[in-house]
Amino acid sequence: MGWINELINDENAKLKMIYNDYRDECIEWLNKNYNISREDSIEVFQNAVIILYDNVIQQKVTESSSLKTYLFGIAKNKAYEFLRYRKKLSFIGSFDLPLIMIQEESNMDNKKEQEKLFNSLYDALLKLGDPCKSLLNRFYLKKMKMIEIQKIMGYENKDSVKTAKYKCMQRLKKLIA
Amino acid sequence: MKDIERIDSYLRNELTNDEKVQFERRLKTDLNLLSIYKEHKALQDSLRYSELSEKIKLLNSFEEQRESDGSSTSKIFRKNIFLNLAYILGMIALCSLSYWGFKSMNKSSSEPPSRFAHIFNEENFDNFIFHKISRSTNGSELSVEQVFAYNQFTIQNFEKAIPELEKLWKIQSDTLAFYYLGISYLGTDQSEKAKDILNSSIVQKYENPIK
Repeated sequence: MGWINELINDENAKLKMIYNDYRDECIEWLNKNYNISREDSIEVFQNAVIILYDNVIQQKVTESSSLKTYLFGIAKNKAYEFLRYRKKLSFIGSFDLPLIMIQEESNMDNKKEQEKLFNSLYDALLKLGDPCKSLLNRFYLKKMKMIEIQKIMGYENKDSVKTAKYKCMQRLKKLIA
Repeated sequence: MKDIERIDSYLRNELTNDEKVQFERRLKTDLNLLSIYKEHKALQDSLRYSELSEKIKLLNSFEEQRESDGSSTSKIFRKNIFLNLAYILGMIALCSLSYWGFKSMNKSSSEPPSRFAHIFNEENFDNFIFHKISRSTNGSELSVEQVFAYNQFTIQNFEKAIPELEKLWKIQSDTLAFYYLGISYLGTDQSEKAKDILNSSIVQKYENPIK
């Protein structure tokens, strides 16, 4: 199993491995080559890991490059962005990175309306909890096949997954109503 | 039900190119479909936001773990606690905090002379940066020495940039380094040296801030 599949199927363990294996080397590299302080290098490194993970679940990455090459490539770009834009205060800290990433890609005509929907859904998802949230996450975000979801989540067959998904969507609708 | 399945397939990138075009065409004319699609798209975005936010917390917990193992600084630990608390306080508060955080962080130790301040302000300084900022994941086109010197110039750390840029000019005849050197002299109040460089024909192709 390649690193992309590992990141999809067991992301927390793989993220921990990435963190432990590459954090020190990447921070030292950023510090040495770009003269970025250690504290800022940690932020740049964390951003790079999050972008790497997001690119994997958005299916934007193929396994043509190694995990390390890909990660350091992103870190290099983030380092440039950090140096280039820190005067302009527009380097995105890791805590507001997800929202900015989603907003940048949104091509909706009515952004306000979509934002409102986004906020109410986000609140509803917090209330929805598992197994619904995990199921929807695997289906809509990780784009797993029904059969994979069935195996991972222990459903009897594909139809049970479909039914469960339908019920979860109904519950979600009630929560935002 | 069929519409929802179609929307799901679209969001999961399962449609062929033709099917995609057809679906997008329908979205433009079928308001009911558009409304259901928007709900599903917002759900996908919310799931993505929620997932990435959780992963950031996870990375912070790895960092905290390192701190408790004694392999990091207490400053980072405090910063990570702050980040987690900031999540609860909401995005607007966070944006303002990050703004002020960066603002205070970026105060230079040696400010440029006031008569040239307009050149070095945030809006204008970009006009004097000409090196390519690589977005590829392959190696940079610049040498390590260039990356270091140009970066120092970009962040207006002129005292550190000047000796590096001088080396690049003397050893490699790097004309961009020569130009950056001129502006760096301007930033450190060495206007005679700056004028000699910026008015010379060698750097004619670049924007002259004292013209």
